[in-house]
Amino acid sequence: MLDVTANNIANINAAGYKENQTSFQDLTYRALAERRLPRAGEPLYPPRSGRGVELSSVTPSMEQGSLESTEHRFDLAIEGEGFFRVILPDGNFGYTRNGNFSLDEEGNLVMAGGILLDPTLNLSDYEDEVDLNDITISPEGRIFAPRLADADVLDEELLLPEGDEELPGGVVQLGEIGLHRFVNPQSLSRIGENIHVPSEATSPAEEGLPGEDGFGAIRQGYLEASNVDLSTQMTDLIRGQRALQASSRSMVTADELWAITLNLQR
Amino acid sequence: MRGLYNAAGSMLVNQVKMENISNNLSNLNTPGYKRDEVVQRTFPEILLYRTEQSRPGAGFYGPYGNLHGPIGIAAENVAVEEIPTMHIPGGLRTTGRDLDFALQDEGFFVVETEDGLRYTRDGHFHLSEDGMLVNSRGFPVMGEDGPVMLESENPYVDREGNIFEGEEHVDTLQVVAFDEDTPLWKEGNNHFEVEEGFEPDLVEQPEVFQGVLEESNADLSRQMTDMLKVRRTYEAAQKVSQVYDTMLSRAANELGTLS
Repeated sequence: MLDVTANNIANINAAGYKENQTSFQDLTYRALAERRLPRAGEPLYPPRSGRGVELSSVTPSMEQGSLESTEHRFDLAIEGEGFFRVILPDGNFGYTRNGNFSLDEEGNLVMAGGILLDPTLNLSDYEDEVDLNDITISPEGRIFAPRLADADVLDEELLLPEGDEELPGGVVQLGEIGLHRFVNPQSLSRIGENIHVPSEATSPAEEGLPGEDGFGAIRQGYLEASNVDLSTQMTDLIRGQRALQASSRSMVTADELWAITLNLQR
Repeated sequence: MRGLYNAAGSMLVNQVKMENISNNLSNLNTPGYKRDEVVQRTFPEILLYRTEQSRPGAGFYGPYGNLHGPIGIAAENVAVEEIPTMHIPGGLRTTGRDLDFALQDEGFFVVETEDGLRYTRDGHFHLSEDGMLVNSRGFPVMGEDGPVMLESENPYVDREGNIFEGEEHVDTLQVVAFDEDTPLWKEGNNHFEVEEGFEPDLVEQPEVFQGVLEESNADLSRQMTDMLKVRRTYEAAQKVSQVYDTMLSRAANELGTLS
């Protein structure tokens, strides 16, 4: 519990970080009769003594974090449900809400550590035709850029968004960012860098477009702040620490009982 | 010489008490945990009888002074009678998580394990792969008829345990209670098990809180004072044993020596 709380506090400024919550459960109970300890009578409840506690779950809270303006063009926040899908170095998919993207040397949209956003988008393909310094990303996840004035040939693949033709210089759509969601996102496990991977208990991912079917909207120039609430973490820290102290106190006392027993024979 | 065994018995009982306190203390942050308390009893209480022939006139046990008469009551030993669980509601702690539930008054949530139905006050639930509401151990939580199936991790649950997704009433959390003297015991995993043959009653008007967990009802200060008491009693019993040891040593080694 203290470890988890410490980790939460450490990530209080990590974009897209989701707070972890711990829960505990008691261990099995053992009848005193099995151990031939002194008992009296035949009571309704045969006396049993407990064996302690174990961690039952560490669950991320998937609550929305607040959106913080960064004014950086590749900072994307999801307002609502959903995850960005990224391609991990081992080829598997990971899911994240940390929208702190940037361009790598080749012009791919990547998150920290060079992890590619899926679907991959190589912006340098378009550098002769559009102004890459003026990219806008709509809440629906569409990536737009104005056509360069001196670009005379427009790639066939570049689509003109409906209704935007009047914009000076013309605006073209370079690609689209999709979102993914799960029925039970709390079962995702974390692998660092704020990337989640599906665990055994996670439902299959559902793909969708931002802003549709209950998927969240994408906000360009914002980052989702960590949803860790410092005051809750501080109380958790106190609760955890007191429980730790109490348990270590009971260990000391149990030790003293043994010492007293050993002192029977002077 | 009975006292020597009494002292040893007391030490054993206090060891059980200590174990119990450690268990309560370690479950200080376990949601829905109910503390146990050791009840000790002297057993069996017996009358002590004279072993030697009473001299006529010395006893006051009637006219038959030369019979073996009782001289008083002594306890043979002390033992643990039972370790009942205190089903007192614990405090409620807001977590804000939509799949955390607490019951304010009496009652238990019902989960289905391989070994049959189990009852719990720990409402820290999750959603399984196929959208089933499960507890931390992965056992399905029962609704009105069978496991609760949900579409998302953010349902709305009202005070009476009715689960809504959007406007749709999906299911109702099953909350049951038992008569006061039903044998319910802890099985671990925050589950309670009921002895065969005892059936729970459905609570018609439960008080379900969403986004809240019930804290352990073991309180730190009380457990700590109990622990001090145990430690001192244990020490006292040890001292008594040592006194007996001294007495025996005197009897064996010093009686009859000249010096």
